[in-house]
Amino acid sequence: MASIRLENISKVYDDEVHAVTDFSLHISDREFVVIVGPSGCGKSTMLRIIAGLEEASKGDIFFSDKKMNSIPSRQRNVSMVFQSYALFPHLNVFENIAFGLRARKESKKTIQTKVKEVSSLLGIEHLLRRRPKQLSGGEKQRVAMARALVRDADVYLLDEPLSNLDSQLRASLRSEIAMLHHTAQKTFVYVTHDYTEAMTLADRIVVMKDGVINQVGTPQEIFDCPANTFVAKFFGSPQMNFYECRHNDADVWAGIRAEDILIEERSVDDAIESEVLMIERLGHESLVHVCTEKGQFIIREKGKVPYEVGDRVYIKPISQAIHYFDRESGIRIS
Amino acid sequence: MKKKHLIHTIILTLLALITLLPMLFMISNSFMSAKEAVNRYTDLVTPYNVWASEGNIHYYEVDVLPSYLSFETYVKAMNPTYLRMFWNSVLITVPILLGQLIISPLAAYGFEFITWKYKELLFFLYIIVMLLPIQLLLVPHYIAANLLHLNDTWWAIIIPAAFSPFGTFLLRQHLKGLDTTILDAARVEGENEWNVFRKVALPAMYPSLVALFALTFVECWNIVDQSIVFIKDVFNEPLSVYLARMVTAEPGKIFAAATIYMIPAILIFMLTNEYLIKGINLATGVQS
Repeated sequence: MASIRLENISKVYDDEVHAVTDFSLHISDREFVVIVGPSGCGKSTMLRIIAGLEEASKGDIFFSDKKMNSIPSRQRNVSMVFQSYALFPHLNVFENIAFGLRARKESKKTIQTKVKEVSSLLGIEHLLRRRPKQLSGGEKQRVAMARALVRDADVYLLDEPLSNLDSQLRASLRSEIAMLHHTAQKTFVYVTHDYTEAMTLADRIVVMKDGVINQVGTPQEIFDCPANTFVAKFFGSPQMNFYECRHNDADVWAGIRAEDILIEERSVDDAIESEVLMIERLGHESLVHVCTEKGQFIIREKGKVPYEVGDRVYIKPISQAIHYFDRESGIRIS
Repeated sequence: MKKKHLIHTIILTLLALITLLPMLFMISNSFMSAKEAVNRYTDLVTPYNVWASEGNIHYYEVDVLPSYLSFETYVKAMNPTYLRMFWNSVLITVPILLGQLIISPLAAYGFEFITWKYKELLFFLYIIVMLLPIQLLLVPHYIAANLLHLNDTWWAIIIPAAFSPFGTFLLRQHLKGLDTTILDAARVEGENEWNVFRKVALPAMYPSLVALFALTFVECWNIVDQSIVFIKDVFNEPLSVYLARMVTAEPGKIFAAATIYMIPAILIFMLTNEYLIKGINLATGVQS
């Protein structure tokens, strides 16, 4: 068990590429933290720094107040699940899972018991004699999880473990990971570029862009009060609608989520006249794309909608749900 | 499409036959009696080939099949001198193979995954050495062997060959295509760098190691130039050099001697065939 303290971590490659800049974060014991951001934002680099696979160019890293900067990966007692699963191709599933236990010179009996336990937890007992190349993507992912969970590590690191799977499998494994964390009661640091994974799994989310933390908070905080336009756009599907407006005598960006806009057939106060461009009918809901003088908007309506492409409608953002951001910096105006 | 396929098959079969012809010729002729072989392929006019001479011109009576089947030349070829030379070849080849198979994976791993100063420069020098023809390298090798008092010993051949840069180059090319996260996984799982090499990188290199084994074996088994330069005592010569001597000294036995000489190489090729192709493909980036 361990808490992690990251203090002003920076990582620079070849004196010019700044992968991570001034990253500071405290992760409590047993917390599930998800680092989320677009590709190349430095989130995986950060995870590798925690794992000890990369050295930070600047800053300090502590596990339960013990400075870990110069401690090699093998002595950090961390477990990691890699995006490519990184299963050892020449070993069968049993030996893959037992690898870390053998490295720690555990007895044969302990290895047998622990591998059996974890494989039954993940439902892969029938695969133990197979080689990685004989497994499907989902099975490989489970084996990689089993290899990480079989050891009593202080910290569990997961680097986009679901990104190579199809969407259905991703959804089912996502809930399994959430349950595993609940059962294991360990510190998890999870990296992803998928905001849904972040929202469903995290106790706390860290949003990164260009190597810099943009916001840290609970999923609800991030969703309800995005710190800037980037976070606001990143969280939510469809993306938050943005338009220029005046607020408190200043030119600002107004952001409104698709579900916070009402569609009226007739003109009402403050409604914006618009034309329906496209309708995405998803069964349980419809996404109506409209064009207005302020730009394009996407509106989420429950169930079916009575409109057709080309119809004239009036849209009205719910004023309490509008987020305002500084026009220059994109930072939230409270 | 089918027609194209047929043309390809015909062309490839013809090419394969052309390649195999000398070998088939050698094997079938090895079943001639010594007398027949001498009479067919010697310049001397004997009662058996007198018809083949017209004035100063002498024809060879080349034939694929022997007049009658005989194992005589095999029995004669396996004389103590031949066996001694065969053993000499084994004693030169085995240490070179051991050296290459120990040094090359370690060096390749060091060049690819360990960070140290000037490694790319040193690797560049390695490549240059690999590109130079052996005849050019023999002079510095000779000078070095002389300084180390290794001339006229097999070590003068073994040491440079065991450290040959080809294996390092081949394996490093393979490692370049390796998914390095498996090495990271082993590190995170608690292994030190030596065990990461031994337990993960080395097994991953297996196809290329087998390819290296087969290629190095063939190269050492056929070694000629090095032996001519370094070995003065004829009894220490490898079989490859002795074979050349046999052509003139004992022409009757040459086909059988050459066939036996070829067996180890063919056996190794047959045993390693699958990995040989896979290993070369992996090292050259055809397969990943």
